[in-house]
Amino acid sequence: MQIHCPWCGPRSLDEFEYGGDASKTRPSGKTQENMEAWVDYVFLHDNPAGRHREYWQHVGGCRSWLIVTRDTRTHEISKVELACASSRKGAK
Amino acid sequence: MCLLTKGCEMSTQPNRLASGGQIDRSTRVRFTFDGRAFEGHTGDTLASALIANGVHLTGRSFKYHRPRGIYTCGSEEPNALVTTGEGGRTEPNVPATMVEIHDGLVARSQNRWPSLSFDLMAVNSLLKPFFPAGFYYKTFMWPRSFWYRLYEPAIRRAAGLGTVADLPDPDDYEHAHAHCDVLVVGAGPAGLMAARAAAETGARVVLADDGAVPGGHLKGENIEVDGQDGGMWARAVCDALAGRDNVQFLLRTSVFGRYDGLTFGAVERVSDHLGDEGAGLPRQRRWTIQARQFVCTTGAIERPLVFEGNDRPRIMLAGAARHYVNHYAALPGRSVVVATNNDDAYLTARDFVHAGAAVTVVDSRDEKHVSGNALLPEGVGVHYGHCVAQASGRTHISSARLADIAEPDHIRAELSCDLICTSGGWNPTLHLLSHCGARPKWNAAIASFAMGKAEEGVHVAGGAAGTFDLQKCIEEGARVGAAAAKACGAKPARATALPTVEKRPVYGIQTLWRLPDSVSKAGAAFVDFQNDVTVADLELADREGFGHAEHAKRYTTLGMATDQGKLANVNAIGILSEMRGTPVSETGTTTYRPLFTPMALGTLAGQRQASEFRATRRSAMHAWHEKHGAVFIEAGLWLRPYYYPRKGEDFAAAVKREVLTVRAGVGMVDVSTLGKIELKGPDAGVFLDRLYINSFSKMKVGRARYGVMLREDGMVFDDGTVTRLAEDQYFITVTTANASGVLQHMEFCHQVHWPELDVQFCSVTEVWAAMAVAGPKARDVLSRVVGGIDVSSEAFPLQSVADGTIGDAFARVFRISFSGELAYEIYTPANCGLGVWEAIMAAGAQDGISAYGTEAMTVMRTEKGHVAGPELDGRTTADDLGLGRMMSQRKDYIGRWLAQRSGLTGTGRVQLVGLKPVKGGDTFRMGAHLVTEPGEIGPDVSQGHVTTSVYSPACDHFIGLALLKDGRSRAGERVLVVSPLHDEQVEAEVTGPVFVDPDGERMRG
Amino acid sequence: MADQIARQGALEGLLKPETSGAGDGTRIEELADVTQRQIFARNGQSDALAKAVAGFLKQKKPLGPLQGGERGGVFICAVGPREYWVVAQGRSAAKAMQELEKAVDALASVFDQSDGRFVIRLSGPGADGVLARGTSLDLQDPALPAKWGTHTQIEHIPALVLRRASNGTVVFDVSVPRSYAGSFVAWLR
Repeated sequence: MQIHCPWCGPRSLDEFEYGGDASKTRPSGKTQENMEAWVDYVFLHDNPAGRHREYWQHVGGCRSWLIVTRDTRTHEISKVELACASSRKGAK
Repeated sequence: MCLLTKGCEMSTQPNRLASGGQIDRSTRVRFTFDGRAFEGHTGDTLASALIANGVHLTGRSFKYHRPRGIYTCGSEEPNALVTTGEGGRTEPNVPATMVEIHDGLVARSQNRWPSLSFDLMAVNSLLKPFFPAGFYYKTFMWPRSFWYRLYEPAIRRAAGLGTVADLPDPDDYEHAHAHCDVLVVGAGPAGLMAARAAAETGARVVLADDGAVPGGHLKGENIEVDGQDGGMWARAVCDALAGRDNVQFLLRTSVFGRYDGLTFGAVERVSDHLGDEGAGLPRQRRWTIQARQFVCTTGAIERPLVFEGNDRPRIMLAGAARHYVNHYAALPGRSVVVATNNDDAYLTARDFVHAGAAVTVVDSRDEKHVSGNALLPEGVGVHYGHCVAQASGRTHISSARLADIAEPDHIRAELSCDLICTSGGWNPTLHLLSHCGARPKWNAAIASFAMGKAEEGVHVAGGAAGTFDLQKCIEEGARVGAAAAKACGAKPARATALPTVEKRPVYGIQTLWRLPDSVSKAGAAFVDFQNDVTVADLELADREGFGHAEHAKRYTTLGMATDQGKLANVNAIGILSEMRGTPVSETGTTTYRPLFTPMALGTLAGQRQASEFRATRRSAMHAWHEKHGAVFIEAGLWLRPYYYPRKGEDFAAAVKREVLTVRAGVGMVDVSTLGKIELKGPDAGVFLDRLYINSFSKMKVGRARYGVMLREDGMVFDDGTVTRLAEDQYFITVTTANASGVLQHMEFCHQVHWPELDVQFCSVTEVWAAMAVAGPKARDVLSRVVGGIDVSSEAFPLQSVADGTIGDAFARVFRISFSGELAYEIYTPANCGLGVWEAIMAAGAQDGISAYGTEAMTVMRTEKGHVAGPELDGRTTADDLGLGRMMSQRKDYIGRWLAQRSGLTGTGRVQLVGLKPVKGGDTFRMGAHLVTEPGEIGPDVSQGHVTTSVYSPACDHFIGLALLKDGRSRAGERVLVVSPLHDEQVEAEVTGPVFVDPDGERMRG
Repeated sequence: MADQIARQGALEGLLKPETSGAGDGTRIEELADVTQRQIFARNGQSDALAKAVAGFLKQKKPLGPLQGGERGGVFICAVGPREYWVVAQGRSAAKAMQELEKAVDALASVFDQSDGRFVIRLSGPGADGVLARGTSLDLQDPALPAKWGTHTQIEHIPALVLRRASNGTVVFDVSVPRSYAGSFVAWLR
């Protein structure tokens, strides 16, 4: 099986390491009142039978963290993006 | 007219035809089977050579030890499993049909004693009523003690077919990778056309076939393609393909599995067939093939008819029988009965007649449904509407007894014969199409299973698609090959014209699954030959409620042998459907999984065996450690010196000496394996503040400090040292075990959480060799070798760093201490590591400097209550470990908030304590539990456990670090250190974790 | 007195230059005196860094993903979205190295990896085949540029593979972390 790394191109799965659920946003709350949000972020993850947004790192290649959309039933990967791309508060 | 080789009546190869076949008659290959010498030709398999030499008995069956012979001519062979090779090269359960003979080949039959023709274990046959399917679920239960003493050892001895060698395998194996646009599996007529069509577009093609010679089914046929012999045509197409540089042709290569994303595994038999001439080559090569499109042209495998005695020697599949005649010029019988329910077997009848045999056909169908009889020469007798109900004979058949399909209640006729060719139909070879979960569907036209709609990227043609007409196979193959290439974006090419094929009758079939027990004993009608599963066993499975295909498989073990039921599965499904009264289309198949055929473990491992099973990492000073007698321990992939025993020293003595040397004088340890990460950029300090519980952005340049990192859930993740080398430059060390984990964590935080931080970092673990010099004399030693640094106590205080030289090598010196002694860590470029180490050893000789290993290091850090791996087990918080005061209140960092969960901050948490034995000579076991009442056992009563336990030379008794509930408030208490598994109980006193120099004066010296 | 500290390469005694016995004429040798740098763009400087590198290479287009370029004995390739790897051999490349480092000074953080790795050169018609035994990289991928460099694995040993030349004689340089020397040589056999 391969993952198409946005930088390196299609690479064998054993160059990558799974990094968990990518569907959550890290809380920014700096107070104890935000505990619920932290518990939710760290411990509570859905396990869908179907498309799943998840982190993979290209550890054996460019070491980019990626967000991969994979169907958990068929392993079909429909999208791969750099985790630090799009969204973010400008690292370019 | 007999076409057998003249002049060789009595001796070699009595069944070799005088002409024809693709064997090289100019060669004479000598081999042995069960100690007897035989001759064959290059191009023979062991099976074809044995047939040519008149040998039919090749083994004994698994359970009942029934005599068995060669049944097929391919990898699906269930009976003729032999052991080849000798010594460490012994390989059991090799199908004789897949062994290419070479000079000096040694082969033996299996599962018989004392000999193949007289096998005492055949007594199992008489005990058959006691060994039906599933007998082991209901027997060997009483008396219970007899299981270990008698039943199990006896069953083990009797079980299995071949015997594995117990010597190391001396052969080499390799891995290799291949990439292509189009992978074509099977170089038969459809596959060759597909590969050619794809290759002509310029697409990259890999064509794989498990035969020694391409052509697939065509090799065994007597058919003209484009005016020449089919086999010759196939070879010509293949030669043209092999010459193209966009085609990689893998012969003798079995594609054993298809995995997600069109990744395939294959095994190439590189030198098995070369015998001694193969020296220097790998024996086999495992390929990982990555394709963009897959063309499946794996053909079809014939299935036998099921009747009493259908497993006896000299019964074989009809297609295989004519393959031996046409391709190998070996005649399996002279007085032949062809038993069939379809038209394909008539080709066998025709080819045997041409070879000089007497043939009778027994077709279960009514004559009006038969088209194959058009091929029969004049005078060949056919019994329509009849079938073979019994085959009799012991070590080989001597007659076939027929029943009438319309009234199958008694035997109507008996035909004497020396060979029965059986055909119950052809099953498309679907495995690679199904490995990723697609389920086959019943196809009534061919009375077998085929795939429905193909998955994306997958194309099927020829026999694998249920197409049995050769002209159609060729057309289909060309079409899918072009389609596959097109799907890769290749431009269409002008295709070579397709060949013409002589016309053949249309294939028709009528299913015949089984006969009534009255005329064909169900207990002797075999469905799975290799595991000795009969129709009676399937009836039993159904009666006991295991009639669904998946259940019946496990209950009877049908389809679970090395042949994975290639001849048995479809027959079983048909029989079960009939038994249960459900249509076959509703019964479905069991799941296909890799591997298609068995693979040697050596091939799977490739070069990753023995010492190279994993990569090994060695520090720059490794050679020195080896030379000085270090005993090594594995730390992840690294080899680290554990201790350096001198003459007469055991482990305990060596470690004690090393520790005493450091505490009294000076010692040196190699710490190169620690993870080292360098950070640059204006936000490097802020980044570290967010990762560690303590702060570094305000630390002064030239200072180093101990740091602790948490996971997001608040548990301690790792600890190490953080040093500020310049305004925008930091250098951190992390534990050896966590080095790659910490780097990943940092990369995640930077790329995902805080890409706005302007910081860049990377691993520099390999760049620096590192060594710690520790002990009261450490400063004296260093002052002799280090240049450019004032190492006096005032100029170079604890927790500082300075750059200098040792000799002409750059040296970065840190003053930090893990051992609790006055200590310095020296970092030098790795290629200077050995030289610098030796220079320090020389400088310290006058102070009795000694190298010490990781065990001595562990003893000393334990004496100082310093936490390490066993304490940082992922379940402890900073507070548990007594490091709570390091947690900053003024900044946000990873894990800060979840570390404050009520469950992690209240009473009842385990806390780091020290333990000392009440009785001086007692020892503690790492992992032992702590309780207060004697006899208490169980997770509910455990109050903690021992994390580290060592003999302390300073205290002259054992000491331990432990995690104990509310431990910090229990100093002075007595607890019991228990290990129920070892029946141990030791009384200990709870102390603080620091045993030596509690004020830390030594390291500040 | 600055005594001479003996330098010890990673492959000391483990590898002699040789031509593989497979009859395909692949040459295997260790490169000596190699300088290696790992370069990361500072925030907001990715494009500027790409331009600076292109400027150093005296080419108009910045390097594409995995693409490599060479000037004055210095080979540089874009191994990651904001990351370059530099390999240069010998004193003759020192001048060009200085020029490159000056050009990227304010735009990037540069890390010296020279002492942490050894470099093996594989050249000749069989070089692809030797590498294909270890890496799952598609070395013949037509989408790859003529010169490229990428991190990958050779039988689970991390390796930076550079294709220096593909016309005429194929040349690959493989840069491996030095602690793996023994295992890498065992694989090469």
